Amino acid sequence: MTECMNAEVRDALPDLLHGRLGDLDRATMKAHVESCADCRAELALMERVRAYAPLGPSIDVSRIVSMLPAPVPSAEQQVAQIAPGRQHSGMSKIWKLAAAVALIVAGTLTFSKSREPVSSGSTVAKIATVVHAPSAASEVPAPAVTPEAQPKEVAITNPVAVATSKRVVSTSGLSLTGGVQDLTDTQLEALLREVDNVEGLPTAEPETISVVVDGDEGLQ
Amino acid sequence: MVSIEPSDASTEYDALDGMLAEEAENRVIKAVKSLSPTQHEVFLLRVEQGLSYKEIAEVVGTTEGAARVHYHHAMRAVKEFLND
Repeated sequence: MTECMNAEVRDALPDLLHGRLGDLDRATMKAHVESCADCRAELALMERVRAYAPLGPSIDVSRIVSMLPAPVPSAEQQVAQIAPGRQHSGMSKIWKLAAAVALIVAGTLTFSKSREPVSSGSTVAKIATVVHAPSAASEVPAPAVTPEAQPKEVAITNPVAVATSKRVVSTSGLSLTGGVQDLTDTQLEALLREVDNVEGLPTAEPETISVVVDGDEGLQ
Repeated sequence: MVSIEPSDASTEYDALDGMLAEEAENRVIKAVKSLSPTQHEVFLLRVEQGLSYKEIAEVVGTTEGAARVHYHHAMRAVKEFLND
């Protein structure tokens, strides 16, 4: 069996066999095959090979599959893959239960906190108000209070004073709107002592400031 | 009563024809199986499956030109085997 010298036609013979040629190419190929004994014989051989399909292609399917890119599972598939493991996990149930309990406790605490009446928690604010409430009857000397010694800072920076004042306020039952005039003498004395102990307050009398001006340059 | 027609009888020619066909089939099978693994794979993908050289190259893991060469070598080997 010899070979046709037309390599292009021989290349296309399997395509002619499987009908994978266009109309024009198929007509050209058929015309050639009718006139070429070698191509006719080769085409007949292909038909025989094709007919004996049980030849069994030795295609390594596993190798082909291994070369294919791995399919990316969809979100539903991923959830379906993960879900069964979670359902059968005892630890997962425990964690779920613990999370639920923690959520309930946190919610209850938050709710009770929000429902709690304003009482001891705002004592600091009360004291700050009481300490610095302006009052005509107060005998507390009014020092030159600097911005650093504002009411809030007194209450915050001196926790001892706050605690003491807390006791004083709670025993006297002062309200937010109360003033210094509501305090007893003992309470006022204690309050004054605490105010005196607060650091950072300026002295009652301002220091004298002497300004020296150079005679010639200062006047110009 | 069943009548037997002459065409129903198995003739000696039919038996011989069957034997020759079987022999021809076996030879083709042997010819194809004598190919190297790569030639065997490329040859069947081209002739039996009708894949293009480009498709064969992707399946086999080679180039299109190499697939074409493998096919022509395989076809030549099959022809030589059958002519012996």
